[in-house]
Amino acid sequence: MAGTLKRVNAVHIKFCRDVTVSQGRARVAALWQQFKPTKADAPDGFLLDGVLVQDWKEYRRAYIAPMEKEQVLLSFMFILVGITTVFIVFVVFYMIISHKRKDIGVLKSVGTSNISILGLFSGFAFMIGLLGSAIGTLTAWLFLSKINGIESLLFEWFGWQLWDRSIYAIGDIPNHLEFHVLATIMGCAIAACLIGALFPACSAARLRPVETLHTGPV
Amino acid sequence: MEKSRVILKAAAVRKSYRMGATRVEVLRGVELAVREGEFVAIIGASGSGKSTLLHILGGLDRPDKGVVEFDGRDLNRMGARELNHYRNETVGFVFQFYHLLDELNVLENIILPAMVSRTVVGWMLTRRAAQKRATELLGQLGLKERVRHKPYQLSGGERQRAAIGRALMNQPRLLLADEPTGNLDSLTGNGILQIFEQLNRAGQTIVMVTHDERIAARAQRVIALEDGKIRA
Repeated sequence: MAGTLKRVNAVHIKFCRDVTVSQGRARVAALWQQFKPTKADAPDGFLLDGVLVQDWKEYRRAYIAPMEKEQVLLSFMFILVGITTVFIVFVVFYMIISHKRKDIGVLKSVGTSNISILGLFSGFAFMIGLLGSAIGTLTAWLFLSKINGIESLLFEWFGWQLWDRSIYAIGDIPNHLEFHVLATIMGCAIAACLIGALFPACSAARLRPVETLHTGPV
Repeated sequence: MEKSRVILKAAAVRKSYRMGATRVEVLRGVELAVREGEFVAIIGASGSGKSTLLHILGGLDRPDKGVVEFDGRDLNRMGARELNHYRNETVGFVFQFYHLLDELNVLENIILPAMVSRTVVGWMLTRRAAQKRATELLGQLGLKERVRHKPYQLSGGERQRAAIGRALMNQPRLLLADEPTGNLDSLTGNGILQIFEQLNRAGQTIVMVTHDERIAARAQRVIALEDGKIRA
């Protein structure tokens, strides 16, 4: 820094709380466009042409891109898990309804409507979805809130370094919870249960009582 | 003595089933009339179509052709809602194999038709009255000590009495019984028939299906079903 020309290779700007990243970036870019022509004739002014205005995501692109890919892959895996859940719920409900054919016939013989039978099994599926997703969400929340502690313990006890800080360039495992995302996941889990149970519930509702009551005492 | 009016009428009722490639005609033009307060037995060999006829009379199945009327209302012209109401309020079914719900206790099984006919709010308002009615029925049927028992904890006769209680819960005008003693020993079966006789004396209309002539003889009138037709 002893020479006449002072150089910097990066300026980091922190915006106020009420300014979004995109708004702040646009404002800085506009200011830069105003400032650059005023220094065009300055010594080494051509260097200003190479200046980029970037937000933090663009600046850290090399690190963030693989993480985004991981996120996409994880989302894809969750979709597969969701499809599997729908299939499992479908099979379980199909088996329940196969075993309860006689009971459905009895309910119809005492005047239960098709809609009520449909509602009965859909309600059952909804309760399973609600209970399952509530337990899952609570467990996930507990796990996420303690994930950094667990990671440290695993390193202390077994020497396992699950979060490679040299790759991610972040000290702690990100564990910020967004409640609207949690609510969406819970909603999707309940919807998966309802979708899985829909076809068996419809077939139960359509059962003719005479078909189901022509059976023995078993 | 003046004869009571006809409440249940079947005219030219035909019903067939497809069994593989062949079509089996089970009912071939059945004509039947049941008066209010009657105890009618329909007798016939296995496969003669007596259970099918009972299911049609009870609105569990529809005939291919012919008319079934209850109190002047054609069952074929009833929509799903009306037919559900008919099965719930007008008819009570007693099956050979009882068909009680294993997850429910005796009281809950008996109360089931009352529960089905009401909305959640309606059920909240009438629950006590329904429980009172079910408890009365349990007393009449000698099941007072079995209120909280599950069906699998009961004997065959007790199960059938619970099934009769369920059938009577909504005070139906017509009681339909499909081989009600078919799964019971003669002594227990006799007890069930005595209950039917008591109910009939109190004015209950009963249509019972059986293959046993001795059991059919307990009814006021016996109708024989042969080859899908009422024998003259």
